[in-house]
Amino acid sequence: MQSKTPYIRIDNVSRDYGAVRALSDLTISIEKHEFIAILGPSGSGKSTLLRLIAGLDQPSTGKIFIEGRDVTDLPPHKRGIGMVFQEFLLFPHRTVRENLAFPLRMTRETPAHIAERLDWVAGVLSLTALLDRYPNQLSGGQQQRVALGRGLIANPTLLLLDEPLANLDRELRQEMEVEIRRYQKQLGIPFVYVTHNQEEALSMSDRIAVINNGRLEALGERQAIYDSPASPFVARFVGRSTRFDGVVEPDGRTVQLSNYAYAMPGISGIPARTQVDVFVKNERFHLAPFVEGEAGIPSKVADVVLRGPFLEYILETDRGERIIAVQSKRNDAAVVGDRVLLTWAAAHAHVFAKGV
Amino acid sequence: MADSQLQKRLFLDIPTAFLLLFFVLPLVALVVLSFWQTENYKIVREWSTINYRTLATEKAYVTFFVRSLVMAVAVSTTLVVLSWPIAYFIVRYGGRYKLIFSLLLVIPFLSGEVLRLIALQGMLGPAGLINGALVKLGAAPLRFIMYSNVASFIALLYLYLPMVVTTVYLSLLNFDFRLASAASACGAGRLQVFTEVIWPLNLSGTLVGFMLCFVPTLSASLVPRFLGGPNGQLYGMSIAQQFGESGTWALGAAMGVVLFLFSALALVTLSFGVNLRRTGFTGLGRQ
Amino acid sequence: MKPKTTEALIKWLLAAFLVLAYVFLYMPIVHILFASLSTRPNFPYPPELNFASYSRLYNNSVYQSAFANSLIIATCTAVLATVTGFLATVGVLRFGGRRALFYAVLFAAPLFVSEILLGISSMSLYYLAFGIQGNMVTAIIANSVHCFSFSFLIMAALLYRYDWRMNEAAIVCGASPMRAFWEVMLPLTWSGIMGSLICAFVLALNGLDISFYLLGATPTMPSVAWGALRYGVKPELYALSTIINFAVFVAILGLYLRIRSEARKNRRRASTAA
Repeated sequence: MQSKTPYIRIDNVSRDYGAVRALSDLTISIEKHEFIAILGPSGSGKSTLLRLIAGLDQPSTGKIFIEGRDVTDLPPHKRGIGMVFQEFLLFPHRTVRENLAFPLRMTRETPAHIAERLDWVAGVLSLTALLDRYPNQLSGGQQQRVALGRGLIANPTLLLLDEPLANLDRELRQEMEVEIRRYQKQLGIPFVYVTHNQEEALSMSDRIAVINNGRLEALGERQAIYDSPASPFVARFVGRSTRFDGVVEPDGRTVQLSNYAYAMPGISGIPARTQVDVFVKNERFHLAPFVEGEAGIPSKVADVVLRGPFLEYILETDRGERIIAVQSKRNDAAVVGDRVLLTWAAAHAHVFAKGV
Repeated sequence: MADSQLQKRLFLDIPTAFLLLFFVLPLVALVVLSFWQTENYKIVREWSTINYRTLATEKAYVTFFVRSLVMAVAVSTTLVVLSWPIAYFIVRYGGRYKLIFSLLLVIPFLSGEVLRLIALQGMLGPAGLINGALVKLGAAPLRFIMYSNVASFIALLYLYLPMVVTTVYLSLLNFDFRLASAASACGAGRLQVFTEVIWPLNLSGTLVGFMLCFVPTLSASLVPRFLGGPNGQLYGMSIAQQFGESGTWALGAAMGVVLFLFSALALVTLSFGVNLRRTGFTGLGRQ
Repeated sequence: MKPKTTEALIKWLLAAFLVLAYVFLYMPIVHILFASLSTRPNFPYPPELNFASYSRLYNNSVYQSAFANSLIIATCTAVLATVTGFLATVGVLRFGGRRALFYAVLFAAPLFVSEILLGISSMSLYYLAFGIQGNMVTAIIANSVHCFSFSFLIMAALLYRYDWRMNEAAIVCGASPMRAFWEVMLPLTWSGIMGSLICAFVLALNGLDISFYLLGATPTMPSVAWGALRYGVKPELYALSTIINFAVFVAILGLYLRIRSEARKNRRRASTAA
């Protein structure tokens, strides 16, 4: 892998609205063949970031480079991008065919070239039968595919997607997740995908950038973001976890839970006697039948929820806290009313000093 | 079920009957009258098409009609061109003051023709503001802005500007500007965004504004009477004369029917020339 | 040019044009205001503050009776137009069904027929059918037809986004249909009704063409004004004009404040409920 300028570079970008700082000093580099998800809660600034890359908005400070070119002052139609919107935003007064051909008409392509690209897009996205319909005659999923087609037809340098699946129902969403990732791998251009849905981000992307309150909380391979969260926010936001209070023992290497008789050895990097937050992903819990005297969190199974291939145990600890543990279905599964002992491997705990 | 049928009857049929009785019926009466004649201020109930023949052949009436048509087209087109920037600004940059801006437009409109003409005369008249100021400054007064077709033109612009702006404003208000962003992201430059997305999707609103101005202008009677000057006689003014001084009601009725037919024709042509679908109309249902 | 600068440039150009438009619209009105308060009505600059024309207006009996007639016509028209307009609006939006567009076009049709046509056609009808020249009642009815369309459009525009299921919700809670309407729908349509009343009232008050043909000799305020205008303007006319303009301004201002306070109340309720 030769070291070269990244395909897309977002350089120290900030966006202010008067006194409100929507984005602070974001720096992200995106490679040509990657699918990167911008993940964050509502109001985190992720859509703002996308609009800045698109050129629909200008950064207050910082620069944006596409293929080495400084595009910060370029309007959207000169950046060679494609974009897919959450509400699809298909032109209601044009047929599907005309919607798809629109970007090519804007760059004044020849009719022959337009026809060729139309055929390709219609084939890839299965739109051939719908070409003469109007957007309001299409279902949500169909509109979504047309929007995708319109974004891809002009061979853009990159594709920006703003929560495109948010308006579809769940089954369709899961189908489309697989499809969209497949298109990205086929086309070999970067997809920048904004979402608040961490399952989507985890299933579709190569890398994830987590944004909160306008700041970049974490940037890394999706597995790393999931397994090794860099901050309490990421630990809480990505995946479903439970938080415990704890304190670092005087030996500086063990974390003792404050409310339960359970400790995790092998923690490093945090000074002794610091108050900490301990995050454990719900699927990392280990449930065993309760045995008096063994280390762990004693709990009672209050309810069991069937979630497809998994079981969700709603546990009530002896202290009255509610914890959710996700386990795969087994023959010796616990039932409602059982007394269990909750434990987990120390490596699966994410420990952060409080107040960070 | 029966209850809802009754309600439907009540709500829809009463206004329909109201219109049929007091709107359609009078127009029918007008048509009938146009086929009769007046002699010595009395109506003679003899059927003939002489009125229409007069209108088609006598030079004066044809002149009035053509002049009115030209004036109406000129005024309406100019107003559409003038209204778009105004309405666009209010919708895009008005923010919280949108309502104020639009209401400020409505106020002059509600003053009514007569009062506004009074005001205009105060401005444009031979002794009015503009000419008075010019005289005071030692320049000669501008002849052409009073008692001329130019004066009528300006006056008609003045009268109907609020109406056209409001129509375009309402159309733009319901326009989803995100479509403009989408077009921009699809490679459309500023001008292209306007011609490909903004204009077509607001075309029906623009046409409604055009018609709302075209129809009254075509039949304007007060304006030309007062400001038109010697060459300014327009159709509507002539109609007024038929029903006023000359007492030739039948001829006036015929003129009225011609006016109505022509307006209807214009309306139909425009609405068929405009494919509703292609202006983004997706039905009366709310999204 | 940077996108930001082009954007700003366009914005300021448009703003300048807007200001120009408002100046165009209001300058004559303001000019008349000054003229009514001046002893030199033709060129009232620098402006004075002389109320002579107003007192002359007040004492002029011709204007007084004309104004009274106009008031009667305007009030009745406003009520009639608003009531029928309301029925039409509810009819189209709630019961329109597939023919909704057809009815909407029908109800908006009078707007596309000029006032003068309305006037002469009504006059013809009454003369041919009943041999009468016309009277206050016919004038009111004809004006109502014209204002009805305005009423319809105003109320339809405001009622368009009303969720009719609210009426159903009220009925399910035990309210009779009449009660549901009174308690649930009416408060939300107040601004539409007020707007319609004001608009119809003022249009009928100031409208010349329709009333003129249907009243003949009976004077209305605009017809007297028109007469005076043709034979040389008297300053009382300016005073009258200014008063009417001022009244319209106050009415619209009242409506605006009402709308704004409603919006504020709704926002407050929404934020406390959140």
